[in-house]
Amino acid sequence: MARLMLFLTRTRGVKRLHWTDWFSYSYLFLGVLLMFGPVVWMVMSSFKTETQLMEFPPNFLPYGQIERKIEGFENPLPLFLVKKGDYQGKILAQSRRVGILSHLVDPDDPDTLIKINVRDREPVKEFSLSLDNYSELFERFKFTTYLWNSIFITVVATLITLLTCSMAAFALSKYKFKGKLPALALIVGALMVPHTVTLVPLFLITKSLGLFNSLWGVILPAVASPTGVFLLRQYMLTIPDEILDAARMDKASEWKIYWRIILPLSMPALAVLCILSVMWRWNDFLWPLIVLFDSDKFTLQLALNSFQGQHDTQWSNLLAMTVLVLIPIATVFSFLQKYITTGTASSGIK
Amino acid sequence: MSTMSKTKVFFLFSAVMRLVEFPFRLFLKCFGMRNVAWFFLAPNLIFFGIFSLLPVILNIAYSLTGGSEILLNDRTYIGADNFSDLLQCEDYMDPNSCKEDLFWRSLSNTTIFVFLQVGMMVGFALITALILNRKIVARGFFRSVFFFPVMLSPVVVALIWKWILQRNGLLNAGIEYFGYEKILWLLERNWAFFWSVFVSVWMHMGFYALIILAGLQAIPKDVYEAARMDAARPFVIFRRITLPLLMPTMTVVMLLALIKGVQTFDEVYALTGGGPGTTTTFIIQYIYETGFAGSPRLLGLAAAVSLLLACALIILTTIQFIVKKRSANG
Amino acid sequence: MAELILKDITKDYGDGDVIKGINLRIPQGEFCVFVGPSGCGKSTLLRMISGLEDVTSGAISLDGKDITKVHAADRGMAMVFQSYALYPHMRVRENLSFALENINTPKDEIIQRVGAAAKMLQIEGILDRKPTTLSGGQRQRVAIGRSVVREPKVFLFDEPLSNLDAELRVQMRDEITRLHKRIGNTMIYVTHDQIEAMTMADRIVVLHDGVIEQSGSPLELYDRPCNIFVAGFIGAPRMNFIEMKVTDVKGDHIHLEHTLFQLRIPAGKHHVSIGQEVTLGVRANHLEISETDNADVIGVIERVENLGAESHVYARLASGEGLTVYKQGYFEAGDKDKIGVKIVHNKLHLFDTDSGGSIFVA
Ligand SMILES: Nc1ncnc2c1ncn2[C@@H]1O[C@H](COP(=O)(O)OP(=O)(O)O)[C@@H](O)[C@H]1O
Ligand SMILES: [Mg+2]
Repeated sequence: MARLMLFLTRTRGVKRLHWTDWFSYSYLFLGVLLMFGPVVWMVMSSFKTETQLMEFPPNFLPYGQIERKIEGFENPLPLFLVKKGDYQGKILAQSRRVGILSHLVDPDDPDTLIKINVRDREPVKEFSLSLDNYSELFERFKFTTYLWNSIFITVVATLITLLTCSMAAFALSKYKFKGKLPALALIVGALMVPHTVTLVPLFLITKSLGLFNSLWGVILPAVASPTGVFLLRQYMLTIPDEILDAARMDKASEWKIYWRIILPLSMPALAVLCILSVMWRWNDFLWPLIVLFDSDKFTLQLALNSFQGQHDTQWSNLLAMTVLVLIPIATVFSFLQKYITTGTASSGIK
Repeated sequence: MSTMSKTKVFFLFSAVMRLVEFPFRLFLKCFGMRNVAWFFLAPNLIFFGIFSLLPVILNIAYSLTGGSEILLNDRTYIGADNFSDLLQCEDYMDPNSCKEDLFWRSLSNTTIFVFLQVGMMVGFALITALILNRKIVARGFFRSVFFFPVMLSPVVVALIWKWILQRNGLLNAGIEYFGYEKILWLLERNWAFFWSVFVSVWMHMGFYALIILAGLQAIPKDVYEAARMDAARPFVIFRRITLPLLMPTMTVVMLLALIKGVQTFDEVYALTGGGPGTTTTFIIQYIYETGFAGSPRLLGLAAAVSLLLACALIILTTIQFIVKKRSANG
Repeated sequence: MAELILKDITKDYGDGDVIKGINLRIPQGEFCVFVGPSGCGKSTLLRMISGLEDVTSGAISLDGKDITKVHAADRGMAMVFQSYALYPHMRVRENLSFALENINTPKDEIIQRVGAAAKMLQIEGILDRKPTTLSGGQRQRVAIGRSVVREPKVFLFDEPLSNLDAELRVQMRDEITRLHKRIGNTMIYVTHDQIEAMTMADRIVVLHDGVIEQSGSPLELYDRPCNIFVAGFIGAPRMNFIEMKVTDVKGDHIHLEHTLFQLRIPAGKHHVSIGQEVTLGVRANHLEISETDNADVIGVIERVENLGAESHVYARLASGEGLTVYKQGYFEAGDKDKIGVKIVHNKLHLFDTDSGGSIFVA
């Protein structure tokens, strides 16, 4: 412990902690609490039953009442601790409740019925993760449909984006041709006019192409990502032209040069765009909200939003669903966090 | 991935790529080697033309039409009426006196929101970046802690906070513990507005902190060493060296945050739905509701607002490019 | 037979000709070196021969066939690049076989040819490594190996050794020469290093500002440079140049005058006229250090490079010209010491100062 303290406090050379260090670590500690806390809270809550969720003040960990199978009763019975009277200190199972009277039985002696006031007993709880919220998602809701829609959009859109953007970036970084400058200028221009400000005509175009209420209507409009082209082009500019010349001497066609030489060598940039695209598509909200109106076509994000919009929010399933939507991105992030953070810092794109 | 499936993926990939060789040859036969670049540009340009370029032009056309029809041909040309409707006010200080009062209200909401959000966000991002730039333990971990909400979906973020802010939520439990009354955080005007700002700062701050951190790390170490040789105190070093050298990055970050802030929709819409009333209705939500969610659909009006917003964004982005260029040139 | 003929080749990148009309015939099996200062258009010329660059005008033919419009890969040439240009993501083996795969060579033939090339270049041990893990010399070998497997009619090298350290450079120089002896193909080798050119070439082509200044065997160029540029470029240390004036032509002797000294040199049948401005060229090893009394000219020592077996003495004349004198063994002298320099009269070059052209070689 002392060595840990020493390690933690050994920050500014040999000197003791400066007040700025105290400030820094307090800030970081608060930061961790504020950034992680809400997410952890939500994940914990998603394992609670509907009744536990109603509890106020809420418990941090999901505590469920213990239930026991008792001979002579069909369903498992909840256990209570008796606080007053003859049976004080005993743990009994409640068979049913009549008004303010609780009918209890002793698990060891199920035949004698004990009646006490409900206020004289309290539930016996234990830590238990209730997976009902999750299983219900699959049973009662069309969760698999939403999941499939989201996965389909994310995967297909990312593949098309990678292909078209890398092809364009190759042309714009490795060829000299008439019209290169206008093409570049157009792409820079497109960076200025995001889709959020052309929703109306985009809606019309999607509709006239028959893509309305179709997953393709979500996928196609954003595959020609100018951000992607730019990112890849910047990277491809660093690949020496001599390698391409060598391939040309080796009788590789330009197409082959693209897929055998350029694509493998652009792997780092492609990976960055791949992560970005997955993130964009998985999290996409406004455009799907406009294009998809049939709930069979909903993505997870839309489903989440529409559930919470329904009058009395059903938190139990909603929380579970939120956690499931969060998991893929969280997994990607935790595996590639170093890569993603440095990539974002250097490219300045999110 | 195992080597086995890796080679399988590669095999599939090369099979597909080999197939494209045929259309590629055909293209060369028709257009010659001179135009080979267009083969690679074509797919992107086609999508780009249909879904990025054409909309920009159509948007202008739409903004000059009225009615509730969807197809441009069916719509009636009304000139600049949409714009004059938008701008028609009896008293420009009072949104309620305007013909399109919701537009003005969302505009003023957005303005206030952007000021608060950008201010708070850039401020916290700067502090965070400065702290992360110090010699601290587990820097990578802390960096990720602040960054991870950037990756989350806005709807998820909204729900995470909604769960905390709900009537029987964690926050109310907390304030009750300290003896205060429960507050309906998302149903009281000022609180709802505050939480929209807060949640959106919570979500995006890490991204800007990361960029500022990169800016800080780009300041050459020897500049600091030279300053220390000149016996400058830490605070002086910060004020005279760090801040001025960081200024270009800060300007870019500020503009970037501004550009994104103006377009805020997802997380706030999922959090408050624009309410209570229209307290947290911002400009994109206005476009969405006017053009798509409401009935009748006022596509012309929505397009007109989009056009105005696009102009604002173009101006902001141009400034950002200029600043970026200038700081890159020295 | 692979005879390469360039006819009136020019290249214009958009702002004036970079290559200004090259005519050249390279017979089968020749090791031809293009040499010239950097920026003179060597790479451009080589790339035009390879087909990677279009010619603006002119024609290239190989074996009597016009290949001006033939695609790079179909010309039967292979190129070794300055940066090696190995495919970084492929193993050495794949680097070697890539070209063969592209022309659909049967699998066992690929294996056999890659094996043979690897053996010849002694890179069998590194066939399964990626280029990034190789040393400079190994990369160089792989780059050469990549061109060898294709069994091209013509090998093209663009400054292949300039990224290596001095020792490796000498070694690889030797290996390329041996490779040429072994397979006997035509090779065109570009370098800015005249020592490389002198040691490797059957024939040197000196390029300057997009034109051929002179072409010939190394010794031809050394002994009979046809102008001041070639004379100055070929040979190390650089030839000494002194501007003089013809004062008299008497019988078989010419009298030259300089502000500091006069010179009487034997002349052949060459024509010089009295009053003509000429430049005397004399190599460092044709100058001798002597007593100041019977010297042709006296200079002040600026610097001495003692290389061990030989010394280069750099002296400056009172009129400003620098002279380099070659001396065997050590030479010890203080700075600013005066030395006398004697000119060996039968090893002189005389150039016309205005045109730079050679007047005669004594
Ligand atoms: N792709 C190009 N575009 C325009 N000018 C070029 C290009 N490549 C070379 N040049 C010009 O042509 C001249 C000769 O270049 P190069 O052949 O590379 O010289 P070297 O190889 O002899 O050093 C240089 O002045 C160079 O600036
Ligand atoms: Mg060159």
